[in-house]
Amino acid sequence: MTAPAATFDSPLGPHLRRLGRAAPVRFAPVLAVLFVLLVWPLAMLAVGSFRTAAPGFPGEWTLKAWGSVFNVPAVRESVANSLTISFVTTAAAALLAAGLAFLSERTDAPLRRWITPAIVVMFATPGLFYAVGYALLGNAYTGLFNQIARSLTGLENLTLIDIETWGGLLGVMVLKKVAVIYLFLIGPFRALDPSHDEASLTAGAGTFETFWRINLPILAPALTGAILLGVVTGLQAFDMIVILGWPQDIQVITTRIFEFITVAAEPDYARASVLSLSLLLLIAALSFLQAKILGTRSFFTVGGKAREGQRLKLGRLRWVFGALIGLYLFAAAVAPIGSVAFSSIQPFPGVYENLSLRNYAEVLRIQRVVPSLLTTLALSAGVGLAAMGLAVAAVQAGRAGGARTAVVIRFTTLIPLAMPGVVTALAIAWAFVSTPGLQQLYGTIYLTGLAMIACVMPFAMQAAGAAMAQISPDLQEAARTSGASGPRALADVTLQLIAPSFLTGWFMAAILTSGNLDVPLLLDAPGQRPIAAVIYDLNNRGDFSIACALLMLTLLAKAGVGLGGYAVLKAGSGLARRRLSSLAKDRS
Amino acid sequence: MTRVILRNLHKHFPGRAPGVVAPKRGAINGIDLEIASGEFFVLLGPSGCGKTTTLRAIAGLEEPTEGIIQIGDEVVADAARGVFASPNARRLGMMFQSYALWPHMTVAQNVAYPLERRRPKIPRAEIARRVDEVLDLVGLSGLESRFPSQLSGGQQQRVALARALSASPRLVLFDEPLSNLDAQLRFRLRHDLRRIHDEAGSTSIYVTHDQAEALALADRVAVLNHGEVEQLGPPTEIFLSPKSRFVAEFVGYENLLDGTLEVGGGFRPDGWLRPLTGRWVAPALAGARGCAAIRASGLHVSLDATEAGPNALVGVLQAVTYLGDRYSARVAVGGQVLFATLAADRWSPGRPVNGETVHLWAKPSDVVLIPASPEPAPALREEAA
Repeated sequence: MTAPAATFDSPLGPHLRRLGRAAPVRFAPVLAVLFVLLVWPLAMLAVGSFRTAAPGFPGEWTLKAWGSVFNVPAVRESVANSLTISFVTTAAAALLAAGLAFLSERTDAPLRRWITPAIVVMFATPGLFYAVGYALLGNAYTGLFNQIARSLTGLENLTLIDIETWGGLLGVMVLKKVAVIYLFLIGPFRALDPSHDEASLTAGAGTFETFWRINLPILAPALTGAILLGVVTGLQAFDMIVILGWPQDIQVITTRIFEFITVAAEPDYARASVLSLSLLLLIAALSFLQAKILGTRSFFTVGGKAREGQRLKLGRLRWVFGALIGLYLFAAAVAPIGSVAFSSIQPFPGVYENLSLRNYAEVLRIQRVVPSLLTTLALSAGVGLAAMGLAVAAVQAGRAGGARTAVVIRFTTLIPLAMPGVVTALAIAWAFVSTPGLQQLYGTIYLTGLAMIACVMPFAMQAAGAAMAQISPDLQEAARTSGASGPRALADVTLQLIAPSFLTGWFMAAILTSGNLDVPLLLDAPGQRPIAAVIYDLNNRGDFSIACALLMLTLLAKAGVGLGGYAVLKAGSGLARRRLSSLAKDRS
Repeated sequence: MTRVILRNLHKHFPGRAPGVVAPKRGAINGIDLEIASGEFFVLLGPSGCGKTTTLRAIAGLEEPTEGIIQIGDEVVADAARGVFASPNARRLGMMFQSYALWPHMTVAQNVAYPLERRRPKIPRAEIARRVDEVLDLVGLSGLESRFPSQLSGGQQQRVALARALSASPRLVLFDEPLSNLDAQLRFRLRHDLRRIHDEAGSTSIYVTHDQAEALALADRVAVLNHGEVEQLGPPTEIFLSPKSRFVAEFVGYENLLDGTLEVGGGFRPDGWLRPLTGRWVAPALAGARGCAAIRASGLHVSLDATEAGPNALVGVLQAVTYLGDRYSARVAVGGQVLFATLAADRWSPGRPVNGETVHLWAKPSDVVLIPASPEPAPALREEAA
């Protein structure tokens, strides 16, 4: 042993500082990418609202757009429409979703096991598919539903449903929104600790009383969160309105923004920016309200013990509830998909002769369809991978960089949640056009891709965060104390353990990207139009049956990729296990 | 030689408002320790006392706010000079409370991992040999190709131990590694841990809140409270001569009586008429405040006055609990409740308690008298100096 004083000059040299304060520096590239992708566009959007000219062109500073935009009666009307749609559909969808979640998780109703899978399918189905499906099903004249009703009753002029009305639009949006809210609620419903119920039951409360007095208050944060999420998605709605609302002149904020830029004779970028920012502020205020109401409370407990709690016995009523579930599943899942599938073999909606697969052959003969399918595949896979990779890096940076870094990252990645796809696309376009060096990306598929990464970032963060949260920090620390460097520990432990969740997140992000209509409609890359935009064009032109055939093809492709990926994942994990254990045998 | 030196170690966690450093669970406020090479050193304390933070600072998983950490001859952390070695540069082994076994690796892969990270590289054959050796040491030969999820809790614990030891680290850190096991297994593994420490010859630092573990394992124990060392010494000293009320309470003295040292050397608990005679753990002057600590096992109850010994007291029996080889009795003396021991042949299970008058006594060596240390009156402090 030597005197300690002599060793104060560290013999370990400069490689000493690798943890702690060094972390923000190491994660600087991640923060820089997040800034360019999410913060910079927001700033440019704000700047753009004070300019007289289009982005990238010389113009003057002005407050004109801010002063004038809300004086336009049409704009006021679309704001009112947005709010109406948002609140009405949220109220209805939240009730439906909570009821379904309760039936699925807490009761013995028949068909309950079908609810979650059906809703996952609905969530993954783009709004475009839904809108087209219902438009064909509920058309007052040629709709399948009305036709069947007429042939059953023999009444020639009977019209049971007209989808091209306010009621029709709201109904379809409710059915779709139930999926979002349900998926948000189901985790907390499932995570309810059965011991809380048991404590209440042994205290003398009945099952209904326990739900009312114990479960519901515990779920309050999740419920408020779900309702606010519903309002936010309602304000962002675009594709459904474009397809179901435009024919009846129903305009909302997002479609008005779109119109300012693309449809008007003279693009009015400043007004589009003002409208975008106002929407963003409204959504940010709602999110702030949510944070205020809930504080940092997080009630629901995820216990390690996954036990089946006591299910409410519905008795004879169970058949009534079973029938209600069946009705919902039919209306929300079977009907729209069936409608698209049937239309794809019809020569034209309303024509019931000469059913054939001709439309499929024809759609593949359209020149741009195959390249568009390939573009979409590459775009979705690339965007999904990039978003998930960035999200994992961001979560890791937040973990290693301390509380402040984590807050900055969390806030930054939530920005797109407040931006409808149209707004994100606009903001990204402005940011890149006005930045020398990035201008060249304008008009290319890469800019479309970047905007789509921004759009799926909140989802990717959610997926990556959930995956990483399951990995105890101990596991990585154990690697560090075993002599592994930071990146090495990440690669050897965390990345390997989150691999299945990562692939699932990648797939879901790709699915969301492939169904995104807002971004490609606004950021056109000549010759490289994603399939959602092509379908929209076909549908707009009146080629309904061919559009349906293409919708079916993309649906089948997604299902194929999904099932194939699942099989590979299963086989892969089995193989990895066998390989690992045989390796271990060699060693021993 | 791997001694560990902590000098004036501080770790503060940021409070809610930025810039405000509030005392927080797990913070450490100036710890000085010198742990000798080859020593089995235990950090003992209640949850939140800073023992795990201290251990994590030694491991390099927390960066100290202030102070110096030296392992062997290397200064691995020196806040003032901005020196901070990352955990992988410290050549140590650590066993986690949760075991932290990697679920995607087999037992052999888990144990081999620290060896594979060593630079210069260790040849594969040597790694395999060493894995066998360590698994043999912990009694897990034959389970090499199992995954952690296929093992029992006790086996997982042994894998974690094997992994901590496999690269022959100069220092092994233990973070409450036995707290997740049942009592019987804990007892067995305690003995194994000490045996393996003696065989491996490395320095060990062990964190626990379980005094029995500290007794069984330690060469020396540091009792921590609010991020400071409350008492430091061999286990016998900690258990027989606690230096403060906190330590006495924490190591299981059931009866703690505050009082005053009287002229003539007796200690009179507040509200009592008669003084106790006992053993002072530190010098004190007449009039000084202090505390008498008596274990229930050292305070005897008899139903018959003739059996009573020194420090005799009279009390009223309130309750009796059967403990197998003896009874535990709750006795009211004056306004206080004391816990004492009733010999097995003096009572019978199930016999009702009817407020019997009983006699208590304790050997002076079992009455530990602890002078109160915090904030003595200024005049007294000068006298003591």
